[in-house]
This record gives sequence, C-alpha cells and structure tokens, in this order.
Amino acid sequence: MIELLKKTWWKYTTVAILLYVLIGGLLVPLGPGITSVFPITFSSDTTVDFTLRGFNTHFKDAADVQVWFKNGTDFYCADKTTVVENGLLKIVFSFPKKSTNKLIGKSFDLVINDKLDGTVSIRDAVTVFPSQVADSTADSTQIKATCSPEVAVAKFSQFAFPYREILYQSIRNTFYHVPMWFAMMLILIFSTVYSVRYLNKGRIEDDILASQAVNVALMFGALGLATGMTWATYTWGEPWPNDPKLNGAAVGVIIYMAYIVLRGSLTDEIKRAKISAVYNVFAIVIFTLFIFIIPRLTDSLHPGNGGNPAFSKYDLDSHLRLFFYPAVIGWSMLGFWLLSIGVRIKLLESKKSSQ
Amino acid sequence: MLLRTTISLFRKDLLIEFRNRYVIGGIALYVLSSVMVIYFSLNYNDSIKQLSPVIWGIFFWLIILFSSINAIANGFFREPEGRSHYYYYIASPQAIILSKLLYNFIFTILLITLAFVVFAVMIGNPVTNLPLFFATALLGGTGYSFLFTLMGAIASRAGNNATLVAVLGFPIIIPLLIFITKLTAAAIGESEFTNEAFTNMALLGAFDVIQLLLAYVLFPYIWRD
Repeated sequence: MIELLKKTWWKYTTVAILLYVLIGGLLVPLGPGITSVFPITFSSDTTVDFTLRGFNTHFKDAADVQVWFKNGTDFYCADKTTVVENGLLKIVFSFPKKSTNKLIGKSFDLVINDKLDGTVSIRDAVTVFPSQVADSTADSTQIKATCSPEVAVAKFSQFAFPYREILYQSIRNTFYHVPMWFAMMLILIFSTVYSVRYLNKGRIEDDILASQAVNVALMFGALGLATGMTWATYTWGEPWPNDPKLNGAAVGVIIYMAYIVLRGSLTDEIKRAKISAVYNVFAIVIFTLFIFIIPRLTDSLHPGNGGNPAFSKYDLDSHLRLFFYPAVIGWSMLGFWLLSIGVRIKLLESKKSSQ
Repeated sequence: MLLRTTISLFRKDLLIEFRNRYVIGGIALYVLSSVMVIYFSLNYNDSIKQLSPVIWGIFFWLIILFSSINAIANGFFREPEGRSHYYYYIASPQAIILSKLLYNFIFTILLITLAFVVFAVMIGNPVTNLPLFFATALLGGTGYSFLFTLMGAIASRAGNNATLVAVLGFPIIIPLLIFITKLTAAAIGESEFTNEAFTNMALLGAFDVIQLLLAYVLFPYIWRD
C-alpha cells in the first residue's frame, strides 16, 4: 500500500488536480441571478413599480425580456417592462381591486427570462397584503388573467457556477469544505480497516498505519471545521449556530483527539497497539452515528439533513460537478500522501530504535 | 454456559459489595455532598426559589455523570492484579464484560434513584410526567453505565488512569446528554411531549444497544493481555 503512495506520479497528479480545482474554483464566474426586488410587499389594489436588479444579467443585450410572478402553477405577467441597463429592470404590475382575495398573504416567485440569461428567479420574492381602501363594487370573482409566458429554451451559455440565494459567491467553498470531510471519512475508514487487521494478525505496521491515519484525519477535521465556520459566518450569520451536524462533527473530532491521548498514556508498544485498535473500532461506529444518522433525524441547517433536500441531487449543478469530483479525489490523494510520509517516518524510527 | 458464568460473576460482585459496603457508601456520600454543594450555593441569595426546571435537570444529570464515572472507574481499578489473572482462566471474556455491564447498570440505576430522592427532598421536584422521566432515567442510565464500563475497561489496561476514563468517555456522552436533557425537558413540562420524545427515546435505546454490542465484541481483545 505504501509503495503505491510513494510513487512520483501520485504526487504530481495530486498537485495537478488540486491546482486545477483551486484555480478553476476561484476564477469561474457566477451565473446570472436576481439580487434584489423593491418593493417586496404590495397591496392588492395598487399599481406598483418594481425595481429589479440582477447580477451578471444581460437585460439590455437580450432582445426579449419577460417578467412574471409565479404562484404555484399560476403565472401573472408584468404589465409593462422597461429595461434600464444590463443589470436593472423596471416593471409595472397591478392587480384589480378585490380580485386577489385568494392571494392575500401569499408570496410570489419572481421569474425573469431572456434569451441570453435563460431563466433566473427568486422564490417568495413579494407578498400581497390586503388593500387599504374599502372594497367597492368591483366584481369579486374577477381575477387577473394568468398569462403563459414563452419560456425561452436557451440557457446561459457561459461556463459559470449557479447563483444560489444565501450562498452567492461562497458556493466556491464546496470545493474545500465538503471534500475535506469526505477525505477525512475515507481515511478514518482506512484506519479502522488497519486496526481490525492488527487485531487479527498482530503486525505492528498495521497499527502504525492506523495511528498515522487518525493524525491525518484530525488535520482534515480541523480544516473542515475551519472552512465550515467561515462558510457559516457568511451564510448563516454566525460561525457556530446550534446545528446538530456541527455539534456531531465537533464531538467526532474530540473523540479522535481522545484516541491520541489514549495512545500517549500507554507506553508498552504492543499493549498500546491493541488498546488503541479497540478504541478505534468503537470510535468509527460512534462517529458515523453522530455525523450521519443523528443530523438526519433532527432539524438541521445543513443541506441533506433535517428536511432539506439532499446535497447531491438538487444543489450540485453540472458545472460544479466538474470541479467537485476532482476536488474530492485531489484532497483524498493529498491525505493519503501525508499518511504515507507519516508512516514512513514512523517505520524508519522504529527500525532505528531496534538496531 | 455464558449466562450461568455471567450470573455467577455478577453475584460475586454483589457479594463483595455487601460484605464491605464502602463502595456504595462512598458513592452515596459523593452524591449527597454534591447535592449539598448545589443546595448551599443556590441558597445563597434565595435563587433556589427561582430555580428554572431546566437547570434542575442539568444539575441532576451532571451529578449522575460525575458520580457514575467515579463509581465505575473505581470499580475497575479496585480489582487486584492477581484476581484478573484468575478470572482470565475461569471465565470467558464475554461473560466478564456482561457481568460488569449488568453490575454497573444496576449500580447506576440505584445511583439515579438515590440522586432523585435527594434532589426531590432538598431542591424540589419539578417533574410532571413521571413515567417519561423514569423511562429517560432508565435509558440514559443504561447509556452512561455501558459507556463508562467499556471506557473503564480500556483505562484499566492503560495504567489505571482515572482521567483517561473521563477523556475517553466525555465526547461520546455529549450527544447522549443532549437527548437526555431534551427528554427531561419534556418530562418537566418545559416542552411539548410530542412524537419527538419517542424518537429521542428510540435513539437512546438504539445507542445503548450499539454500545452493548461493541463492548461485547471488543472486550475480548482488551482482555487478552
């Protein structure tokens, strides 16, 4: 196993992949999206001028901009659309009085479509409030006709990352935070396999591998927590919201720190190997339990747990995938490279001390 | 065969305990003193009257935590070296660990009962839903005792280091404590007793079963020295 990791091609490939991921991840622009809608509430009897701002949009360059509000399957087109510049759009929109009884209190999604940008939207962009003026004799059953906008088939043609609300530019962290935890999990499984091997066969090399793997895994854990906290500060508002997955991850890292303490407190080599192997097996089961199973069963801010859609299906755009899968591979290869260095040092030390 | 060995080892432990009760006496005194300390600190500016029920629960489970660590760790450390060799020859490791788990489980349940009585007398009893609280105590106590039994077994091989039991056990007890306090809050009436409570209890139960299996499988490897 170590022979494979010593090979030069492994190291060059790792560096190449990681450079590709880092440079690409930071340079690829973000796709078009709507940054703001003003105002966000309106009364049902008024005609409102909305101002819409977009990011990386091309309202002026595209010839046909369609704007509509969406509520479920009902579409309500804007009465008049004025393009001011590439990132600024003004529309006029109105509901007849008394026609929105059904819609009072509901929120509408705002959708803009044009040939260059494809479809960009914000969910729940505006909310309808009951009208301030007393109702007159307007027909209560009259509802503004829904329109069927022609959704252009064209999509945004440049290579770009998706523009997601809450995340915005920090979506690039997907290439750091998530692959680090993947790599950590992979290395911990590796460590457990070698611990079990040690318990079965008693070769001290297996124990050296298992313990160095835990060291590397702890490094990835610390980095994963650091990237996660940075991400959380900008998306969730604080570095450590009370989230079960974060708490589970912290506890998991502490469990493996306790492994290091356990190893440190034992001096006899064989006893240390055996006891720490036992604890390692125990720890991986508990770790898996805390990080994967418990967050899924409770409320969680993390995607994929606690009622949020799973990370891989909805959020992983095809452009992101081009960088995400190499990132997982690259960070894992880096982890194994570090592992091989640690193991080789330890083997040399033990050889030297036994001479 | 396994069952019979387990039961006889368990009875042996009980018998030792009844002959010189200083272990159980020591732990009882530990609990009593801890409650006294809390009582006096709270009584300082009459904050005992404003004691929020959630804080009551936290105090309660923290005392159980530290008392059970002490009790179980010392239980392992007290075995003289020669006796462990004797057991190695006459009993299978599975029987040994099962008897220890059972003994520590009974011990922890007694500990919880004692602590609850003392708390109720001195600091008050805000529990409204007693069956739920007893179920929580049962599941939580099982979790505590199983975890610290295994950790005590590991630490007893590492030179009888009491700190090690705490260092190894605390990270794993933290999520357990989260569930226990959630259930206690439901039992006190601070939060709704909904289906979530059953989920929590099921999770605690599953956790206990997992610990039991892990201890059963892993202890022979520790024992073989």
